[in-house]
Amino acid sequence: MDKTVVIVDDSKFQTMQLGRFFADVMGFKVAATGENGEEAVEMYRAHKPDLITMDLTMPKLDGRGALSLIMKEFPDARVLVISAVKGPLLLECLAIGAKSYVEKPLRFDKDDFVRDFKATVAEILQSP
Amino acid sequence: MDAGSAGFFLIHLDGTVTSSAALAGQLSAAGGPGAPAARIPLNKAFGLNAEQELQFGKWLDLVGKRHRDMRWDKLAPLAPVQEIWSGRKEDEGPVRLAYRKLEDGNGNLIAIAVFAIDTAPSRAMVRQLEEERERHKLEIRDVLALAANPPETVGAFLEDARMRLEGARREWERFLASRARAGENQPGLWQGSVAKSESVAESVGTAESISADESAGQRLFRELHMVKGNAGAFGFESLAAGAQESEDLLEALKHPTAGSERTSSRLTASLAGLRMQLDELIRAMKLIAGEGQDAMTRILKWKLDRLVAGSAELDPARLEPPLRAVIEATRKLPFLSPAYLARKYGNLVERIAHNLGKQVNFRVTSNTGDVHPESFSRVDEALVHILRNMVDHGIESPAEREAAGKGEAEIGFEYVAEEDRIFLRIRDDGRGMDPAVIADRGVALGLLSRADADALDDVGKLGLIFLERFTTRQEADMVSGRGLGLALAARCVSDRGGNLYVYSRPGEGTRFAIELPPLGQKKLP
Repeated sequence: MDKTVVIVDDSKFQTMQLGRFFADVMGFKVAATGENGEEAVEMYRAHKPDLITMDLTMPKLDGRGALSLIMKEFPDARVLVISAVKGPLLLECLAIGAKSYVEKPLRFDKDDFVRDFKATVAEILQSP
Repeated sequence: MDAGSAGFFLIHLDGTVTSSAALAGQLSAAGGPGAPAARIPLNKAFGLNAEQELQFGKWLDLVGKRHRDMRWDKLAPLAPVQEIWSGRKEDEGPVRLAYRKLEDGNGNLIAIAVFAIDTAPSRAMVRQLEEERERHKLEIRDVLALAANPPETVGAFLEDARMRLEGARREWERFLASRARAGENQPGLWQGSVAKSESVAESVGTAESISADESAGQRLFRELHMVKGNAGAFGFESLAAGAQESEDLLEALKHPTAGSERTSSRLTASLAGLRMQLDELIRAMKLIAGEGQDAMTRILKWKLDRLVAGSAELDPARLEPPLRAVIEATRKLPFLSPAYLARKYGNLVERIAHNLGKQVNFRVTSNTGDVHPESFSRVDEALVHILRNMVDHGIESPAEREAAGKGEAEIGFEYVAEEDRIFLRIRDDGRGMDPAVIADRGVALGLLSRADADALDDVGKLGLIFLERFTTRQEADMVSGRGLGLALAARCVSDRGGNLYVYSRPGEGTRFAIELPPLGQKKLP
């Protein structure tokens, strides 16, 4: 059965790019897409996906907030942070429980980026 | 940490650091391991502020928890300190820190190794590569400039530049000599003339008259400026850049400072460098001027050899794509654009026409963007005879053309490269030839019998003009003067394994076609 993913990003374009890559290249079923932290939490509850990707800077509830709510409710959740933000905030998200991160910009046209993206997702799926 | 030193450090899980120097001390201690290597706090070792120390602590914590399930490639970039700049200049670059995790056999984290890598040497190498690439680009532009301008014009420019640079060099040496004599009392480089009579007498060689009231600096500047402008106009960018450098140094000497002495010697070197660049170009020009029809190929090959020799130490596979592209481009240089044909034979046509008081437009067309010089230089002689003949005999005088209601005369040159042969077609819109008249002439000259002549078709009759003895010295009729030249043209073409064709009708111009085997082959299929 196909793995499922929920994609949350306040940029519709990036959501679309990610959705296309997950579906076409990685063989995922995109269960839902959202554009803020509140939607992220609702969608996680509704779909219990194998993976949820999370932008950090988002309206209403930001990625860090959504992440900690999800982790509290679903300690086994696999959350992949996809953000241009590095530094303390990212360290904190990883400490809270995000499985890994991918740095923006999304360069699906670059081999290196695609290789790292696939490896990161594979690594997350291996974790319990 | 001393940012200037590249080295090795161990970060222990408790946040303390051991330096490679301390480790080395411990290992070399006589009689087995001595006291444990000294550990110093993280903030001291890396010169961290409080916030950085806090973040480093969080990172170490994360590494401790996640090193098993997160790739190191993901964890290492999150370390709060990636490079250290303290006390470094911009062009030295930072000391880069590379982190590695050290695990025991069971995958337990022991410590984190940090390699401090001084980026200065690699930056110097990158800089050197960039300079090299820039030099290559300039050399290629030189080649293109040499190819793009008629040799006579380039020759005149180079000679002019040589005289100007010679004048500039003498001016500068004179100034240095008189400064050495007069010391501090010497008027500045940019103040009024010092030794008018002397400078005028010695500057006869320079191309422009000398105004005695100019300062040495002004005279120098003017010569350099002319060289720079002309070099730029011809596309000799390296020479222009060299002249610009000398100009800048000269300009800097306007306001003497403590560094003026150094600027002076740099100007001396810059002027000498300019001269070397120019000599190089002059040598290249001589090759062109002295070697006749294959000169362009020779000069391009010569330049190419130098480029390749210059880049011999570089492994092309390791070069960056732009530089590789430049080198690839030079490999293709022996292929010229059809515009080269227009220049080469257009000049000839223009000169002959000018001497005869005629005006002829020369037009080149081609079915390819790459013309190999060899494909026409091997029949250069034939082309010259044919074109000369056309301008001289085919094209009418302006008055005659006007009477016939014709406009400006035109000679067309077409280069057609096919898979198994090359065609060079030349046509004029002149008076043309009458096959019957040619045949009559042939019979009159005893080249063939009346019966044979009558048996020939038009093309056969016209072909008689390629016979060696088909020379008429009678005054202007349609064939007069079509003498030895065309016979030589025909022989030249057949020597190269090709065919020469002619077709013409009275009043409608003449067409020649040279059919040649492809490059590297001696015979037509």
